[in-house]
Amino acid sequence: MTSVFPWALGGPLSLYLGLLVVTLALHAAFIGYVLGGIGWVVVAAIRGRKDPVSEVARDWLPFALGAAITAGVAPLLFVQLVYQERFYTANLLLFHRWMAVVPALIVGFYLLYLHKSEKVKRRGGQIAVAVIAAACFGFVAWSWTENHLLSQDKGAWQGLYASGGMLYVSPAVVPRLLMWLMASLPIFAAGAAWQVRAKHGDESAASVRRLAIVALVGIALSTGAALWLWQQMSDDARYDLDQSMMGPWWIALITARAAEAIAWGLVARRPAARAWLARASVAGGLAIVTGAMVREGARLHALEPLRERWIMSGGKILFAIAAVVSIAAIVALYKIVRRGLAEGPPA
Amino acid sequence: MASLPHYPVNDFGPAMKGMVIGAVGIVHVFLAQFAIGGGGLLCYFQWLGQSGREPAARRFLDGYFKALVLVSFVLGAMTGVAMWLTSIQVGARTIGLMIDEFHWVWATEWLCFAIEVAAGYAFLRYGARMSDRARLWLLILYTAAAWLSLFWINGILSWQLTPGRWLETHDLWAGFFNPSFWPSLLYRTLVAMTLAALAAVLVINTFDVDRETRRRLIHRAAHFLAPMVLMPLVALWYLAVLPEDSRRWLMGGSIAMTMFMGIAAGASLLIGGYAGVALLLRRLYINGATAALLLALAFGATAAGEFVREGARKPFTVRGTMYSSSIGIDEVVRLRRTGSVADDPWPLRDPERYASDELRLGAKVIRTQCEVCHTMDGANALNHLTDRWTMDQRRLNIAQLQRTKGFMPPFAGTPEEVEAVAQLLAWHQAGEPATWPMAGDRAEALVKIRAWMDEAGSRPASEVKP
Ligand code: HEC
Ligand code: HEM
Repeated sequence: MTSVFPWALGGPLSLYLGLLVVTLALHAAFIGYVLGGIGWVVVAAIRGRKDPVSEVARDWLPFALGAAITAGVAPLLFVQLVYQERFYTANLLLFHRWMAVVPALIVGFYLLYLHKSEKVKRRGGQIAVAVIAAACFGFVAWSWTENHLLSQDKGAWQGLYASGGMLYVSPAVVPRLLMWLMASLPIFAAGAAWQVRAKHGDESAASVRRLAIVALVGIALSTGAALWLWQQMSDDARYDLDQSMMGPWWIALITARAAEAIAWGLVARRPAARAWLARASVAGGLAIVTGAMVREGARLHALEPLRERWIMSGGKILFAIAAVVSIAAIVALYKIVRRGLAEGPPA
Repeated sequence: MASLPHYPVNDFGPAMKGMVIGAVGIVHVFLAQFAIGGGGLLCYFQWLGQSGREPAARRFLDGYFKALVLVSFVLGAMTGVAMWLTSIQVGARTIGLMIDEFHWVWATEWLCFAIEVAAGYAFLRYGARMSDRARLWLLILYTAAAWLSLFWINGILSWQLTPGRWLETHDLWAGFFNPSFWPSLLYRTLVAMTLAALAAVLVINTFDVDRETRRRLIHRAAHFLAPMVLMPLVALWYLAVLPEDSRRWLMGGSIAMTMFMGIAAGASLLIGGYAGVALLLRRLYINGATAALLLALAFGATAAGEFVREGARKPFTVRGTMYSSSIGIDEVVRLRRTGSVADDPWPLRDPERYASDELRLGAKVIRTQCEVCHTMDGANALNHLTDRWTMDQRRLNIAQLQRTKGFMPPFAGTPEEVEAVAQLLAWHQAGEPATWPMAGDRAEALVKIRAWMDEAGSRPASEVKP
C-alpha cells in the first residue's frame, strides 16, 4: 500500500476498511462517554456529593451504553471480513472471556438503570453500584484490547491453546488499555459539557470548567500511554506505522489532538464561551477518526488477501439505498420528537 | 472450494457445541420476536387510545414499553451479541462463509437495528411528553425497523437450510429469497404477535386498575392472538418446502426431532386453543399465573421450534455447501487423500494422555470432524454409542458415516484416520491402558476400510439414493 487513503487499496478491501474505521470511530465515541462517565460517577459516589455533571451522566449513561453496543456491532461485522482468520482465532482462544463479557454487559446495563432510578439510597450502596458497573465496563474494554493484541500475535497462538490458558499476557496490554481509558475522558467531557450547558445554561460554567480540566488531563495521560505503547508494541506494528503513507494520518492525528488541547485550555479559561467548546468537540471528533485510522495502520501487514466470495458478493446497492433511507429515518425521528414535544401530551 | 484455515477447537466439557449455541439462540429468538410483536401491539394501543376507543390505553403503553425496553431491548441486544460470539465458537468457518456471502445484507440489518434502538430510546425518554400523533409515528418507525431487521436476518437463516437456486448461480438474491424465506418470515411474524400478546396479558395483570379495565385491556391485547389460526397452514407450507430428507427426520425419521416438533405443535395448539375459546369467543379473563404459564408454553414451543430448525439442517450448516463440522462438501474428496488433520497446526491439549501416536491422530480427527455433534463421554458420547461394537463394526460404521446415520457427514479423511478413530474408541473401551500396541494386521484393515469408504462415496446421504 503506497497511498494515504484506504480507498486506494482498490476494490472492496478499501471500502470495508473505510467502513471499519468509520464505524469503529462511532463505537469509540460512545464507549468514551460510557467509560469516562462511569469514572466520573464513581468519584462522585465516593465523595458523596452530587454535581451537575454526575447528574447528566446518571441520566444519559444507559443510553450511551446502548448506543455503544449498537455501534459496536458494525465494526464487528467488518472486522470479520478483513481480518477474519485472526479475529476468529483470537476469539476462540479467549473463549472463556467472551462467555463472561456478555453477562458483564448485562449486569453493567442493569446497574446503570438502577443508578438512574435512584432506588439505592444508602451511600455504600451507591458506591457499590458505581464501582461494580465500572468494573464491568473496564473488564469489557480490557477483553477487547487483549483480543485485538492477541489477534496480531500469531506466534503466541499455539502455546496459548496448548496450555489452555485464559489470559494472554503481553507487555502491550496495559499501556494500550490505559490509552483507551484515558482517551475516554475528553470524549465524556465534550458530551457532558454540552449536556450541562443545555440543562443549566449560564450556571453551568463551573462544571464546564472542571470538565475542561479533566479533558486536558485525559489528553495528557492518553498521550503518555500512547508513547509507552509505542515502546511495547510488536516490531511489525511499529514498522507499519513508520511507513510514509501513514505520515499524513499521523500529522492529522497530532494536529487534531493539539488543537483539541488548546481549545480545552481556552474552555477552562472561558467556560461560558460556546465557540471554544464547539472547537474542542470538533477537534476531538477528528482525533477519534484519525486515531481509528492510525490504529488500522498498525496492522495493515495482517490484512487478508481478497477473497473471491466477497468480491463477488452482491447487495452493495441494497446497502447504499438502506444507508440513505436510514439517514432519512433518523432525520424524521428527530423531527417527530421535536414536533411531538412542541405539541405536548393531550390534556 | 479453496482450503480454509484450521481454527482452534474448544472443549465444552460434557456439552456439545450445538447445545451451547442452541441455548443462547433460543433466548435471543424469543426476546427478539417479543420485541417485534411488542412494537406492533404498542402501535395498536396507541391508535386505540388516541382515537378514543380505549381510555386506559396510555396507561398500558407506558407500563408495557418499560417491560419491552428493560427485558427485551437490553437482553435481546446482548444475546444478539452473544449469538455472534457463540457462532464463532461453534463454527468459525461457517460464520465466515455467511459473512463473506451476506455482509451487505447484514450491514443493512444493522442499520435497521440502529434505527430500532434510536426510536425505542426516543420513545422511552420523550414519549410521555409528546403528542399522540408523534407517539404513533415514533412507534411505527420502531416497529417497521424491528420487523425489517427480522426480514433481513430471516433471509440469511433460511438460506442455510434451503439455499435453493443459489447453489447453482451463487446469486445473492437467489439465496436470500430462497424457498423457505416466505413461510419462515410469516411464521416468525405470527410468533412475534403471539408472544407480544401473552406478555401484554402478563404486564396488564400487574397494573393497579379496576377489574373491568383490566379485562378490557386483556381482551384488546388478545386480538394479537387471532392470527395464530394461520399457524398450522404456514407450518405446512414450511414443511412442504423443506428438502425431502429433512422432512423425513421430522416426520418420524428421527425420534428426537419428531418429538420436539410434536412439542412445538402441541404447545402452540394449547395456546391457540385457550386463546380462541377463552378469549375471543367467551371473553373470559386471564390472570397473571395463567398468562405466565401460557408464556412459558410459548417459550417451550420456541425452544422446540429452534431445535427442529437447527436439527433439520443436519449434517449441514449450509445445505449442499458446508457440513456441521465446518468442512466444505467439495473438500471431502481431497481430504480423503491428504487427511483431515495433516496440516492442522493446533496441538492436542493433553497429548501425554494417549498411549500412542495413532491414538493422538485419532483424537485430532475426532476434534476436527466429530466434536461439533459428539463428546467422548458427555452428551451424545462416542464412547457410549460404540461401547459394544466389534473392531470391524467401528471401522465400517465410521468409514460409511453418512450411511450409519443420514444426519452425519461422510468421513472426510484417510483410511488411516478411520482406523485411528476406531482404535481410540477401542482403547477407551479397554480402560485406557498405558500401552497400546499396533496390534493385528493394519494393512489388511486399511484395505477393507478403503473399500468401505469407496462404496459409500464422498457425498452426503441426501444425495445417495436408498
Ligand atoms: C452433524 C452432526 C454429527 C457429526 C459431525 C458426527 N455425528 Fe455421529 N451422530 C450424530 C447424531 C445426531 C447421532 C445419533 C445419536 C443417537 O442415535 O443417539 C450420531 C451417531 C453416531 C454413532 C452411533 C451410530 C449408531 O448407529 O448407533 C457413531 C458411531 C458416530 N455417530 C460416530 C461419529 C464419528 C466418528 C464422527 C466424526 C468422524 C461423527 N459421528 C460425526 C451426529 C453427528
Ligand atoms: C461497555 C462496553 C464496551 C466497551 C467498554 C468496549 C471497548 C472497546 C475498546 C477499548 C476497543 C478497542 C480495543 C483496542 O483497539 O485495543 C473496542 C474495540 C471493538 N469493540 Fe468494543 N467495547 C464495548 C462493547 C462492544 C460490543 C458490545 C461490541 C460488539 C457488538 C463491540 C465491538 C467492538 C469491535 C468490533 C472492536 C474492534 C476490534 C478489533 O478491531 O480488533 N464492543 N471496544
